[in-house]
Amino acid sequence: MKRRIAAALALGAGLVAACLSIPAFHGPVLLIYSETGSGAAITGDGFSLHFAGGSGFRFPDALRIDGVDVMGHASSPCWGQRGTGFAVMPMPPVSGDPEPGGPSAMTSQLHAALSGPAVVQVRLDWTTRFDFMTQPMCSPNPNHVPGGSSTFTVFPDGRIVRHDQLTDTNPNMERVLAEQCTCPDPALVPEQFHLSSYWAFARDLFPTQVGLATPEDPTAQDDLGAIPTKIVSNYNSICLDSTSGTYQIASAWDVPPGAGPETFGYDMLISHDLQKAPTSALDFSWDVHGALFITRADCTAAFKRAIDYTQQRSQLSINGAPHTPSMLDGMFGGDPGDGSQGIDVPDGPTVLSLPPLAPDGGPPTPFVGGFAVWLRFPRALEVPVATRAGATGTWYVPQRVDDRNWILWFRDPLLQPADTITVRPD
Amino acid sequence: MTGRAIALLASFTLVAAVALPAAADIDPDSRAQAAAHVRQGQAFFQRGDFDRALAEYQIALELSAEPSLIFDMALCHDRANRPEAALHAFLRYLELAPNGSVAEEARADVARLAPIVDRIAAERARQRDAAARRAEADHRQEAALRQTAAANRRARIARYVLVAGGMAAAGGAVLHFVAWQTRDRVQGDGDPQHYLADRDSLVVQRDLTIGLYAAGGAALATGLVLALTAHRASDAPQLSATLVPGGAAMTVAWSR
Repeated sequence: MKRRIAAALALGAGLVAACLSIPAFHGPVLLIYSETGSGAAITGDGFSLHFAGGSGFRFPDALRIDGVDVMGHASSPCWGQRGTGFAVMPMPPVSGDPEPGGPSAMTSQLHAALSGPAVVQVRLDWTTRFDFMTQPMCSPNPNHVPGGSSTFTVFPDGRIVRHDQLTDTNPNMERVLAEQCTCPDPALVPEQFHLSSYWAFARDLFPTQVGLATPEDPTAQDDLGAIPTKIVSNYNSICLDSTSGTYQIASAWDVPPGAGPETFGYDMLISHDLQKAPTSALDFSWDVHGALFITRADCTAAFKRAIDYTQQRSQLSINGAPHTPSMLDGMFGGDPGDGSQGIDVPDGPTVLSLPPLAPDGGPPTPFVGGFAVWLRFPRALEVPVATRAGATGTWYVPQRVDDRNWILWFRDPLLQPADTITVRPD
Repeated sequence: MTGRAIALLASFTLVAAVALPAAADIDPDSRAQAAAHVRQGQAFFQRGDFDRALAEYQIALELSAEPSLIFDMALCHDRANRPEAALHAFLRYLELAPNGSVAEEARADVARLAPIVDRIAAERARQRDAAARRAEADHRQEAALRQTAAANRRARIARYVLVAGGMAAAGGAVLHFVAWQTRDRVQGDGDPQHYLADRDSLVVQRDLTIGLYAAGGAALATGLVLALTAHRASDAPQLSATLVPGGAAMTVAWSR
């Protein structure tokens, strides 16, 4: 009897506590990260990036815009770029699109470091062995384990920032040569490896394909031509315009020394890659980044965003100190390359604005779209509060990383130094 | 006056006349004064004024120390219908003059008065017992009335506590409903400013709700205990606190 009474009391107290618990802040959901049996997906307004499931390389295998997969998929040539991932021509690529007989994943782990509601960041870590059957075997040494990681940071405005790194565990210093690793359908006889990070798109969905002719002028566009098979080099940014002009995809790579961008055309797809200088022996030292921009205007608008990324034009003044967005994850206060994230702010108002002057002494560059800022507060917060004159609707969304770290997504760009946003701890 | 009384009067007049002069150690003045008081006493006696006669005999006794005067005083008590005092005086006389001239008379009076005095003593004892029983019954009745009044008072207090507890719990329930609605609003708040304002309200409402529930529950439990024990206990309310794992338990009851 006493137990029943105690249980009833505990149940009642539990119900009261549950009914009256304080819900954590859940702002408007602009991006959703979900995992299903077939993989994982990041879904935003009008677009979705799907990551492969199963035991293969869990790279993105579909990019849906308005419900249509615009990613390029092809089974031939065996060394060709398809989906997204790393191409290691003349061997089959490391990709979310499986290649029968190609390299298989030893490990492939997908981890959502940030899961919305405004910014989603997914990191893929994988390892493989190039022990697929060629004549002779590409990499017979079982201790030789190449691998890599790719981080995809997705924003509500259709920006996808990608950071690729490759690693090579090769204790026996095995030398893997290109001629040993050529896949047979159709076989190439290259003397060198062409290692690249790439995105491939469905060619037939984008009749207009242009490259950015100059690094800083979004209107300077070269028609890449709709030639079925073509390799065009040196456009670090390209734009693909959909059939009806409903949406555009701009792809931009930040080109490091010793690498070059290429646009690769096939019957079925067109890819945009960043290629390492060819080497005869496999060299997996690789750390690059780039971004996709899904735009619903025209390629000029898409290129503006691409230029803003590659030129790091946007500068944000935080309490008077200028900051540039991370090229690895696209956020102010994002990863500068050492893994540290967040900008420390005081326990009081933090003012965000354009700096009064650009670094060259000229007027500051207006932002081209929404932006995300990662702030680290000196204490735990329920939620930070932002104010901006004239702002209406869901103009910002706070996203909790942990008690002290918050990412704030601002829908509207800063256009002039008088535009200020004040962020206060709760 | 009966014939025996007259005979007795004659006899102690004689006693006075004979006995007073016989006391050799009394000075003549005192003897004369005693005789005067005896005469005066006799006069009062004859008029039926026994108390004044008694006073005169008392003075004469103090002046003469004549035991027969004690007999006279016994007669006065006897005539004044004070049998216990009369018996006491007759016995005193016999003690001082067992062979006195009226010793036989005194013994006859003692024999006559002793049963009367015994009856009077028995009657008095019976009256005392009855009075004691009445007092005991009255005391019991008074105690019962007092206990009933106290029990009613405790029951009234218990009712007040129960009503207060019920009101507090009802207030908690109303506030709980309000807090529940506020919580729904907090969950749907997309604007951080609205969220924080609603959250602050929710915190206040939640704390008040829990406080009211706790106070109401404690009052209801206390009232229940008081109501159940109100008719079984004594006056004093008993408050006890016990340390238990994780806190303290407090109990209230009427002590026995």
